[in-house]
Amino acid sequence: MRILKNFLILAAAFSAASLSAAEREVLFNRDIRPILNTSCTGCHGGVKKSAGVSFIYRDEALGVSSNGKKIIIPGDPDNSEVVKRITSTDSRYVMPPAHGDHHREPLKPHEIDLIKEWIRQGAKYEEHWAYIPPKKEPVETKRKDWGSKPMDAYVLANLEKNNLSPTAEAPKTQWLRRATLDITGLPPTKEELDAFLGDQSPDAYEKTVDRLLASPRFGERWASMWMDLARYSDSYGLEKDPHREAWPYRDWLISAFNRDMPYTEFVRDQLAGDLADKPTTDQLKATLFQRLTKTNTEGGTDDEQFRVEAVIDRISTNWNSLQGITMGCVQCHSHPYEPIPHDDYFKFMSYFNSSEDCDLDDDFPLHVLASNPAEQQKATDAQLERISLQNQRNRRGAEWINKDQAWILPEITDLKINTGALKQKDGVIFTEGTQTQDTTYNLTLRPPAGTGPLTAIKFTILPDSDDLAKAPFRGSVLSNIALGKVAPDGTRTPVPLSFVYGDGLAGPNAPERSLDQSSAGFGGYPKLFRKMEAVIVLQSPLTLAQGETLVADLRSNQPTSGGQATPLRKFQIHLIANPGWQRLLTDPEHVALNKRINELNQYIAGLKGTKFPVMLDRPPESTRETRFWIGGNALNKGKVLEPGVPKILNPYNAPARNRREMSEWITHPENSLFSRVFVNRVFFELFGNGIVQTLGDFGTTGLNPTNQPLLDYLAVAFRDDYQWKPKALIKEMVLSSTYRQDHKASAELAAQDPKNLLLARGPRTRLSGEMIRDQALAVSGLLANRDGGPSVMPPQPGGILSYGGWKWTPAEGPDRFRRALYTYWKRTTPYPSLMTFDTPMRDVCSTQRITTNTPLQPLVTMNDPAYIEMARSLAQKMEQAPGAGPREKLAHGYLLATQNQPTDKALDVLTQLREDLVTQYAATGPKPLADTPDQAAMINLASVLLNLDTALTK
Amino acid sequence: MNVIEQLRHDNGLLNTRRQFLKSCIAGLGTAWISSQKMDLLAGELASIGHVGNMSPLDAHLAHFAPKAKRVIFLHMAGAPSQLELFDYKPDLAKLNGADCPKEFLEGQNFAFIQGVPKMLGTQYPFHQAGDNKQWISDRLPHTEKIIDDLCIIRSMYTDQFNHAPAQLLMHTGHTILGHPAIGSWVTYGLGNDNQNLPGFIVLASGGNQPDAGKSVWGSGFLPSVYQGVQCRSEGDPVLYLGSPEGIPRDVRRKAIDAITRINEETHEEMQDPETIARVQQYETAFRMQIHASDAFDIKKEPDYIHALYGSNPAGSSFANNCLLARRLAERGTRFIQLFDWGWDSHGAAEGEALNGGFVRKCQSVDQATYGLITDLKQRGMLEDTLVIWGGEFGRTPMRENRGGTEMKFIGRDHNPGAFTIWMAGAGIKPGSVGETDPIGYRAIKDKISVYDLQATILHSMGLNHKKLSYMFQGLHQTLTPVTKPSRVVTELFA
Repeated sequence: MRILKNFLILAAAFSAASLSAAEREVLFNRDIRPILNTSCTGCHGGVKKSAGVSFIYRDEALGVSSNGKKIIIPGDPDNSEVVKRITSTDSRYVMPPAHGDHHREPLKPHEIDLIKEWIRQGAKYEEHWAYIPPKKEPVETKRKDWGSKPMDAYVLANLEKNNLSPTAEAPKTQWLRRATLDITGLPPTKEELDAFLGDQSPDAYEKTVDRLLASPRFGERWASMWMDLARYSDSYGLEKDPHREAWPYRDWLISAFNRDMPYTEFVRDQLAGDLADKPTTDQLKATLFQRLTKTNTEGGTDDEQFRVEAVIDRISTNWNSLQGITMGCVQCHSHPYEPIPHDDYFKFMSYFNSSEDCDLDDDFPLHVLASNPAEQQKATDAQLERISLQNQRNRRGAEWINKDQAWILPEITDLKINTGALKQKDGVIFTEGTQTQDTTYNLTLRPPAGTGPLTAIKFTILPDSDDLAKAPFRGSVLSNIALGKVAPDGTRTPVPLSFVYGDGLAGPNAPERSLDQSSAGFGGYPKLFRKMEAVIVLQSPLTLAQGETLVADLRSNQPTSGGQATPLRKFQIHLIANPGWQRLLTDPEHVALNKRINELNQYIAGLKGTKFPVMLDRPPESTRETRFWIGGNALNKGKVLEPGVPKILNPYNAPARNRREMSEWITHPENSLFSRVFVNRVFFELFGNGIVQTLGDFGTTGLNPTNQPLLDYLAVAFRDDYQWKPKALIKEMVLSSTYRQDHKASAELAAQDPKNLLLARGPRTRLSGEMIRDQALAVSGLLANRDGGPSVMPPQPGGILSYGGWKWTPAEGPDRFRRALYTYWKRTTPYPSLMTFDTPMRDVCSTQRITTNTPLQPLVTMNDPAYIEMARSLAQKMEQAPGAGPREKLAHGYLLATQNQPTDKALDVLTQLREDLVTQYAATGPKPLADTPDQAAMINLASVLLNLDTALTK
Repeated sequence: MNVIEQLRHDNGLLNTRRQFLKSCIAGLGTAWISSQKMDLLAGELASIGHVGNMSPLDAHLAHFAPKAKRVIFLHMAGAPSQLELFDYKPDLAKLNGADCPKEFLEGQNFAFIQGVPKMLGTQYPFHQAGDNKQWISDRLPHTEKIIDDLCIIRSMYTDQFNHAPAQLLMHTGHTILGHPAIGSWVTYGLGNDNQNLPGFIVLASGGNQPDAGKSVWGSGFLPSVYQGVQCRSEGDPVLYLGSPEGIPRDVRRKAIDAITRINEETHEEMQDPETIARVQQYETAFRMQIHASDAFDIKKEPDYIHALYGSNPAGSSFANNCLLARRLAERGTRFIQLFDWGWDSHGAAEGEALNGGFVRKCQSVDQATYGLITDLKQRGMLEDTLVIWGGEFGRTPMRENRGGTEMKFIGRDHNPGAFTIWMAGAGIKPGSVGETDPIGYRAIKDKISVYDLQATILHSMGLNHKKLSYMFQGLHQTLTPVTKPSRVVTELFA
């Protein structure tokens, strides 16, 4: 009977709907929305509005269906079509449908009652809870003597509502182990344990937390959490999966957490650090968050396809990790469950659509991180200054490309090409047939009679179609340009060229590269997005004598990294006789810019260091147009869209015209999701469950908070009281009475709340994959604590195939024993023992690890040679226990592995096992495991200790 | 209550039963997974009693009666040329050496072809074989002997023309990373029949892993417990399966007994169901060490079986993997995925030329596949084992001319428009399906997309591809994307 009562309480806790509807106010979020989302919105929502009916917005739901029926009439349930439908006994008429692909279970009687009562009460909609900004609600508890931190009152109130009371405080050892692992990812040492047990002062707990938060290990543990969201990896992913210098980002994360960087700044730098007024090296490192997408280096690929996939990945990652909203579905249609229209996806896309990266094999654009730390900011400044000056220099010419009215269309008397055919019509030159990766053009030009001395030649690269909705087009690059003057007798004299202005800079190659003998040059590379123009300035004005012609030779031989040819396919040539073009180059401003750019080039070329991928935008004149994708299809584009954020999530009207403003919109104090999503994530790390259990989905399809006043209190406190400082937030949580409860459960409580969602006891969770390795290293004394640097390859078994003969080269020396987060992460073959303990592959943003309990896990912790090595080392430490017999040695080992004293019974079991094994190894010989039976037995005992439930949980 | 809340409530009820603690082999995330499964099964199997406390790998019923109890998927990574093996094109032979007509080039994306390539006739003689008079080339003399057991599908097509995305598409239904493989979907949908072996096993040969890496057997957004377990080419077949040197089995037994006794005491005190689940996992791991080692020990096969497959326990090969596939199938592994790398016959080097390495690749798989089908048949297992053979796309009827020039060796470029696969067993009707155009460039009759193939594989396992779903990023995600048409090719079944 008591058990039954508990169930009723539980049922009541999870569903207030069990009360009779008429007795109380029906609330849309609590009572109605779950019914609609489960049974109705799939067909009558943002994707499909079957029969013209949608329940997403109230005015739509109060409208008229396509067959003329009034869907919902507030106050009049009986005449509302929706009620007629859900109560119908006619199987052809009833909703949800009884048959067919979309059939659902019929609504239950109490659900029908709720809907009727809701309509009777006026059919009021409520905004989804997560879109309403959090407020600190006052909280009342019956019990007044429990709770050491403000959050405890919210937990207690919820317990009292469920007729539960808190469990007694945990033993000091239990709390210390849990807090130390949670804060630093490592277990407490014997010395730390002794010191804490001996400290009877009232602030012993707080001093310990301060010590842990100040430890450099703190940043390592929390960086690990963020690396799942950032899909951190040391390689590009996909076929060849080459190396990527991503570790500066990991080190930045560690340092940001260790410095207690406010979460708002932390996020702003990852979204738009490159757009800060004067970006620091750290801000550029932070932008790697955006660059940890896949880059495809396979032969024959379309770079644009993978550039766009990277953009889509950025959209999903940013929304999922920072806002807890899923945007993936809005690519193809309006959000099926949230009030987010289809357009909003592409408005958001445009923040990321004009970055410089374009799936090139070298991961362009890269930033040199000087190996000398003192040099780093200077190096960053130089690289950014160079970009700025190059644009400044180019703009001096670019503005004249359009202003100059005197462009002359020459007669083209001859055109040749080495593959396919080259033709002209109405002054436009175009190719036919197929052009290869190495296409040469020879053109003969004759300016109109009476043209003055020529000063410049302009190439206009035309898109394949005038309809830019069809963009982008295949790449089109102007390279290896040479001009010559040909006398009537055929003698050719070269015409020296001095400089190239483009109508905008973008991509890996400066326009002047068109003049050198390399294949690079000005143009659309790897894709052409619009008409592009370049002016090539002659060294000195050129006069053509009677009968002389001008020849232009070009060679287009810069295939994309995927191997696609980038020939000119449609272009125009103009000449000009305006001497102003030469004057641009002799002007002191140009000379000064050139000088400074050359100095910077030399300085940057001489820098020693690592090149990491960075987020950089194209200059405004070279942005890519962002268009609506009809039906979510990249090849079927519609109207042009300007950047913007969903209206529903911007009630505070923050401007969001560019990526930097967007980062301010996300981190805005009035954003209803931003603080909640993060405090919920931290809560999950410490308590084993999120208050919202779906960490990546705070939308209407996610689970509702188990305790919203608690979530909202934490969100507001983090924002206002703690000024977005993660350490203060963590401190409140681990010092709370809630966290300090014993995690021991009575059978009754375990039955009533098996997942411990209500927190009537302390959290008890399995260590993460990283913690399992790090703990074993730490307690066996092997751990090599070193800060940062390139990732390392601890030994892993051979025979794990990877592509193209790539080999895992096991580290030597202390690098074998670094913390797990420093392990080299190769996307196509991630480190197997971490994968077994639920580390995600990190191909895409992973918002939540789901902890599993599988037989492959014991195989790792019992058989992986790395764990045997750790067991061997732990066995030696046990043997060194001061002046003791086997039982004391085992107790010492147990203490090292679990930071707890073993029970007598456990010690009996261990002692007996040791005796048995010593006897057995004496009979069979200890080799090759050890030299003596005692040692062999102790290695097995150490392995047993590392595999105990109490060692694998905290 | 919505489904999830209902489920959590049910879970609360079930968790109170002591026997649940004893029988539960799953960990945290059980409720999560159960709720997902509840969702996927809702309306189909509402009467199933054990849904509420289902553990991630518990075996459970399909949507409807399955034709296949297991799948063996032989993926020839790199894409074998259909024009040299199964798709006989006499008209193409007549065009050999001619410039490729313009209409075949315009608007097409090629990985490597430049300019105007030449047409390339089939390189090997074809003839008709078997009762069904199927066309087959002389490269597969062993396969020819089982041709009446195969359904040859000549009208496959895909929408990807690079290896990694095409392989991802073939195995995960999507070209971007992060989606679960078919084997993961099947294990998620049906659980695992034999808890002593992984339910989804991957075996690779050919010296390289597939181009798309581990993602083609990854669990994507599904919990990692559903990922394919890659069995290795050397050392322990399952990673860390073998006990360390110097730790004999009886020592291990005693150690696990001690762990169990201490963990039971911990459970008495803490009442954490995970602790009991862990006790079970250590037991299972102990059994797996024997059962899996035994499953992977092909030395136990008699000589005549090795002679049948062409396998050799001393090395590693596709033939060994075929034999292993049968041993795993016998033991209840549900999805066995083989990859054989090295079929990318561009002609850029001898090893990847139709007149070079391709010949050796044919030899290395021909007898082994024949052996596998024959062996399954003689054991009565072919009738409920679905075997699939094929690549991720086809090859062009034009000769590859990388950089626009003729190459020293003969090869063909990637062609998403047509390729040939075969299927056998599990109620598949022997014979042939589909046709390509006269030069074998595009499928034209009874076209079957990769999505159709996936829907058909799930169907054969008793799963409805539109209902087997998992909630991720706000969507009911399925193997075949909702935005792409897909259908079960019922005509393939007898």
